[in-house]
Amino acid sequence: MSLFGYFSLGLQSMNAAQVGLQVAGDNISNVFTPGYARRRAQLSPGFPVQVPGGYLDQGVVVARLQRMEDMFTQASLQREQGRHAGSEERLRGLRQVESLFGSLDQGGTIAAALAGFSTALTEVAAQPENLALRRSAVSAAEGLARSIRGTYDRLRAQRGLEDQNVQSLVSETNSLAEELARLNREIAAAESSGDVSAPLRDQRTLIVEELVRLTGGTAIPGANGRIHFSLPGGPTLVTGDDALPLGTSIAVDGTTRILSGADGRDITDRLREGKLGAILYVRDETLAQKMTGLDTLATEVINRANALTTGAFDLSGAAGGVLFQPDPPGGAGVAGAIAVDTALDQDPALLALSGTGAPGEGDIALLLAAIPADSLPGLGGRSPQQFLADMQTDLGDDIVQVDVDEEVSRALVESFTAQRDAVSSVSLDEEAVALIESQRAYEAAARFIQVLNSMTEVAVNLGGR
Amino acid sequence: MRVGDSSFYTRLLAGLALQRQRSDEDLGRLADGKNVRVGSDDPSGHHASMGLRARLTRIAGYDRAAGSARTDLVTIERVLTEAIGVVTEARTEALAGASGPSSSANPIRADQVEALRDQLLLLANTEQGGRYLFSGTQTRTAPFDPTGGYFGNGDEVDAPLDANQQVGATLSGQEVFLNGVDLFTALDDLVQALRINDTTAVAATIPTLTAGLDHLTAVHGDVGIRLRTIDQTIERHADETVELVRRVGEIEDADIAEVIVGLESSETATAALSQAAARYLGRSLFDYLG
Repeated sequence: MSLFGYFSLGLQSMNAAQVGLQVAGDNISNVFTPGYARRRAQLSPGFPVQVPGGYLDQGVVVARLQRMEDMFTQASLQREQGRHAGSEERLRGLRQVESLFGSLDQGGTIAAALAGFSTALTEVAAQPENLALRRSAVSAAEGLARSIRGTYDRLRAQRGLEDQNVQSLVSETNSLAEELARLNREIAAAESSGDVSAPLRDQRTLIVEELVRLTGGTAIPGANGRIHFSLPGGPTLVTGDDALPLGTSIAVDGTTRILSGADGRDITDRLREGKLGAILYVRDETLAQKMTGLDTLATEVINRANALTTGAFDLSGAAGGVLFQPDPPGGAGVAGAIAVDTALDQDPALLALSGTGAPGEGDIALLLAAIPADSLPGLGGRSPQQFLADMQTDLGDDIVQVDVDEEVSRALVESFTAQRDAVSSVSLDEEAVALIESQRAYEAAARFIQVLNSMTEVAVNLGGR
Repeated sequence: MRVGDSSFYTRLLAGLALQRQRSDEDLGRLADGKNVRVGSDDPSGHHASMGLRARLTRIAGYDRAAGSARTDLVTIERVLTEAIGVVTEARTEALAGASGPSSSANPIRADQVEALRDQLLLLANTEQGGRYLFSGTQTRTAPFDPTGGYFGNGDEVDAPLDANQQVGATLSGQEVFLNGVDLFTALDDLVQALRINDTTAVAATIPTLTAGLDHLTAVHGDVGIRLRTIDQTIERHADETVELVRRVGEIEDADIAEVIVGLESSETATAALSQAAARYLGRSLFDYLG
């Protein structure tokens, strides 16, 4: 190499140091930027040339700018983020459902109303001709109907809210899927030269993480840096450059169903992961079960109470009518319609409490009072109080289980995040050292050029003597 | 392991959030003194507590019914005491009227016994809170007409004291005043005999009145037993209530000392985290470079 050739070698060295400085600056700027994976300039010796005695490298070149990422840890983190988002959302939904049943001390709950009904009917059984006690008994029956109806209405409203959440999340999922497909296209185009487009990949990582959190789906690496995304159970959401948006339809019961693919396959029941799956679980399983449970409870209470009162006599000795409406109960939605017969509201003397027609005989009142604690065949041989307690305990068990899942999942997310950050996150200490390294390399290269300049000057001056 | 700067902040925030969550839970426990409010706080405890609370409310209902039965039976007991007094007095008049020397006063005695009969009729038609106490379960019908004819029935109003335990809160007037001995007819006969001064007929009413008195005394004793049963049941319920409340408290109530220790522990951890964060976070090699 000629003496002048060494100038370009020094320049290369200064350029490499400048790139190092730029990378450090970039990393420092993005120390807290979400999704940012630190960069590293990978330097390599220049192409070797033969010199007397062997080969020498031709300075230094920036081989490539690396985006520091551990794909395996990232995939594990994403999977766990999906689970955690699902657990968190499920916990939120279940806790809301639980709050609708009220707490132990709270008045107006179904448990309190069942107890109140029993107390009022027990009291009137001792004085069935007492109109004030009859009014209290009718009022307690109304309280029971109102608490069942109120809880059912709140469950129904909650299901409506969860349904709105489903629609909103489907729309969000579709937007993210479009975004992922666009980034796939841009990354494929940008990386066709072989270089990694770190900024686009950072953006895409955030999009994929959000998609996983929403749906619990899986990102699958494809050709040319593309990422495919499939939903739990297999349906594809993004295939390379194309997004296959989810569709929706409204079912007979008024809930939103989720459709996938060109043929509009209903995949609602397969989605049980991520935020969307958690909301669907709460809407279609927890809320649906509790509403059905209340329907069963209301049906049994109506059937039992009405069977007793219609076979009995009112205060005037006339044949008794029903206590609760609707009669017959009907089926789905009965818990939202249960009410005391309006005739009793106006005249509590019509409440049939006597088995013989004698006004002072309250055997039927006593049997009505026992309904909350009676084993009823439609409740699987359990009493309404046991049935209700079981319903709330099942919900409590579910919440405890999900709470444990959420804690485990949160710990795993923290652990995987720490592992990912060990590779990807920026350390200001490291960047400070990198800055000093680059600065020193630049200074040394400049000094090298200065020495070359002196040498060249000496060589030029040789000819001048 | 390599640790980036953002990891510090992530951990700090997670740590602070965890302590805040624990403090919030402890404050909630401190606010209402409860450890178990909903199923998820302790599913099996919540289930048990619902059962215990249902029993507590049921006991309250039984006690109210027992209280109302007690009121009726106390009145019945008083009425029977008075009725015994009335019949005793009539029997005394009969004994006096049946003896020769004082028989001249028998027409006056007839008036006195007639007044006693009216008093007994009044007692037999005792009404309390809109219900007749001697009509059986026909509580809205006056049991006796002036002739002593009975319009009630032979049943009793059964007041519930507990599951499968009831007590008769009213009596059948037929059973009390007519069964075996028709007290009204006996008194009518006595009045009639005294009025016509038929000492033999007067004497003939004495065994009947004695039997009637014995019957009333027996019924009075039975009412006393019923009252004792009610009192014993209420007492048993009071004991059971104390035990149930204790068990509910055992399940639901928070250990306040434990909660306060938990709160202090969270507070200490939060303070330590914050101090450490203020001291170490945000520092890097840059702080030491010229």
